[in-house]
Amino acid sequence: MIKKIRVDHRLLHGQVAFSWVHALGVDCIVIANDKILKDQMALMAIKMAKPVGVKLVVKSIDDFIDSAKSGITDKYKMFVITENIVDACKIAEALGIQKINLGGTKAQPEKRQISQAIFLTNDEEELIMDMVTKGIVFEVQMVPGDKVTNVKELL
Amino acid sequence: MGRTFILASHGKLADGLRRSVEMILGQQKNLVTLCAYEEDGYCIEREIENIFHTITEDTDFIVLTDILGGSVNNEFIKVKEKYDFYLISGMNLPLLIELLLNQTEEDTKEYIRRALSNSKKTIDIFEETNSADYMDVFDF
Repeated sequence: MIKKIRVDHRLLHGQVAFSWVHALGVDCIVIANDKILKDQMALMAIKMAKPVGVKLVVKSIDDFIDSAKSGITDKYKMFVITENIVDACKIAEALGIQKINLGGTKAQPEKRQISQAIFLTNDEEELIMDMVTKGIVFEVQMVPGDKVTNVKELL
Repeated sequence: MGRTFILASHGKLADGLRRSVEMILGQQKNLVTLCAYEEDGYCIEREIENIFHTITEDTDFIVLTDILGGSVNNEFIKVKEKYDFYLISGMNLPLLIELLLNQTEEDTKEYIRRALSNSKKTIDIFEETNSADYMDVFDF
């Protein structure tokens, strides 16, 4: 089962690896991303960042959705990380997930900053609004010790 | 019994380490820092006394210093008979994270030994490997 799905443009890094895995009590981290499987250096970095005692899976978005639907992931308590909001929404819709954690998105000039670490394009804001009306909750929270803010309060 | 961590360094390392660990794990309650010798006339003996006197609750003290054989570490050794604490030298971020995250009920000395052993493995040189060799480990 999926314990949490998180958007974090840095994917797997110390902050994620240590604090979330510990707080969630998960036994499997899934990096769901279409580009990273072709990026040798990024894969090596991810392999090094993996905390001891946790399984690490790297899948394309579609492959992950297929795996989750097939039932082979049922035995895992999963922490799923996507690089961007579009990917997370795609997975949430396909698998009926009600809540998405927003951990960090890349700062870019054309984006609007809504919290310390979350920057959104107009398209992403619209996507979030659309998902919110469908009942999906977006929580802005960098690390487990931080306060949770519902994205509705920030838009 | 709870555990209180005292980070002690020459200059700002202890405060910096605290900021870094809190960036990763969020705010930490049982963490005290001692940044020694920043000002003229700084008296480390007095600062050490202050720490042990201000924390009155029943707790295990774990002192982490910046370097073995350094004066900060030596000053804590001097008061080892007077106060009850565990003293670790060579503090760093992985060690502190390990200590803060994996707090078990076991004997504090055993818990420290395990944290040291785990975090020492994280000091390493990056070696490039062929991703074809480990792609299978990324699958369910």
